[in-house]
Amino acid sequence: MKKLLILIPIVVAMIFFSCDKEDVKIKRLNRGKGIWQIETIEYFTYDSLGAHVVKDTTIAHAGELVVFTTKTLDGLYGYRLMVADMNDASGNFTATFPGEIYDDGTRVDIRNSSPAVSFLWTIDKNENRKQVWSTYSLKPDGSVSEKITMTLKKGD
Amino acid sequence: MISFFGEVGYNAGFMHSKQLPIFYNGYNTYFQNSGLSKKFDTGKAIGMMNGEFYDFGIGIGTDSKFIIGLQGFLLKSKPNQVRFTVNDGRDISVGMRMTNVEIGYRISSSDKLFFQLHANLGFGTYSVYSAYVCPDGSKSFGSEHVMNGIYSDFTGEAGGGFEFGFKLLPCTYLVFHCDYYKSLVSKKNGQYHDFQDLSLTKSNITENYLPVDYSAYLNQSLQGSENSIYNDIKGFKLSVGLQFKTK
Repeated sequence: MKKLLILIPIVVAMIFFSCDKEDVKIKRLNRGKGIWQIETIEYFTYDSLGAHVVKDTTIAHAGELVVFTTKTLDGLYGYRLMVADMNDASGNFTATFPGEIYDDGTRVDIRNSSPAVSFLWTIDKNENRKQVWSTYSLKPDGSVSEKITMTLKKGD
Repeated sequence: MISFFGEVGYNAGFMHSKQLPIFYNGYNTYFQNSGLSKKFDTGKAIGMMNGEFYDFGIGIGTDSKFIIGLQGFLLKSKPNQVRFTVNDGRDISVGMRMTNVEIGYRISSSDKLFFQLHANLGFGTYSVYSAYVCPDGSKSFGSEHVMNGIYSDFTGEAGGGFEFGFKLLPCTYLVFHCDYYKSLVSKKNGQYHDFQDLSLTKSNITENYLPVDYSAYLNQSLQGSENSIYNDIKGFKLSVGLQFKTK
């Protein structure tokens, strides 16, 4: 019984520490081939002090990302192919963008050579069925001007 | 007689580097007239790290055993921070993701206690996570700031240490490790860029290594310089875990 009293807190502590996954993010998107619906795209603007953020615009149901694996050489490096089907503000389909997508648990790299598109998103939330990605742009003085946040939900 | 063991637990690492403070110093110097409210701490270099480990393998022998196993562990440090005037800044943390072959000798004076000496040889990835911190606290690893990125070095590493085990329950031991680790095959030559960001988007847009001289880094052409630090990370790791083993 004494040994159990020692063992239980140790196991609980180990589970507690193991659950802090901020540092070791599992590559959930890598298992996430399929359809990811873009729930929202939000635009945030930083004011001159940079200390306050104003949300200018939110676009709901902006489209979807269709992610699938490839057997080409790029597949060896963890790349997958992706098609982004984008809607307008009314939810009507407007355009399709094919590309490659790669994630390392911290960032998502979306690239295409024609048309030349290259995005490096930061993963804010990395869950099996929900992802939140952000990308930033700068003012001429180098301070942050705008943040775009995209919330994705795994399709059924 | 062959026995099997498996082990999981928690690590605390105390890793050190003389090269990372060179990068921190260069960054502090470049921004010293830009109203830094907080500089990179150049003294501790990495500081305490934490993460999980696993270990499994076989023992060959009766009371005392020859041990061979496979061990993996993760460690990540708390961020070293710079802050500018509106509380924006940069966070840099170091991560290690290692896999080792463990070879050692285990002495058991009784069924209740064992002591083990071992050597480790393996490979892994040392990563330096560099994020811009916005005034509202959100972090960016994107390509909008030159220094953002995950700078990684995949290389060999070697170490050694000892382990104590105390029997708690039948076939279950509480174990403590102390191990020393050192990165190997460090190139010690700036032009090879030990730490590089592997993102193609990042490497096509900006420099993708950790510089000695930050000012020179901003003014030179892509990929052509000898201005980088190398991987000299080494230090101790203490671990506590549970081992489950057959007799």
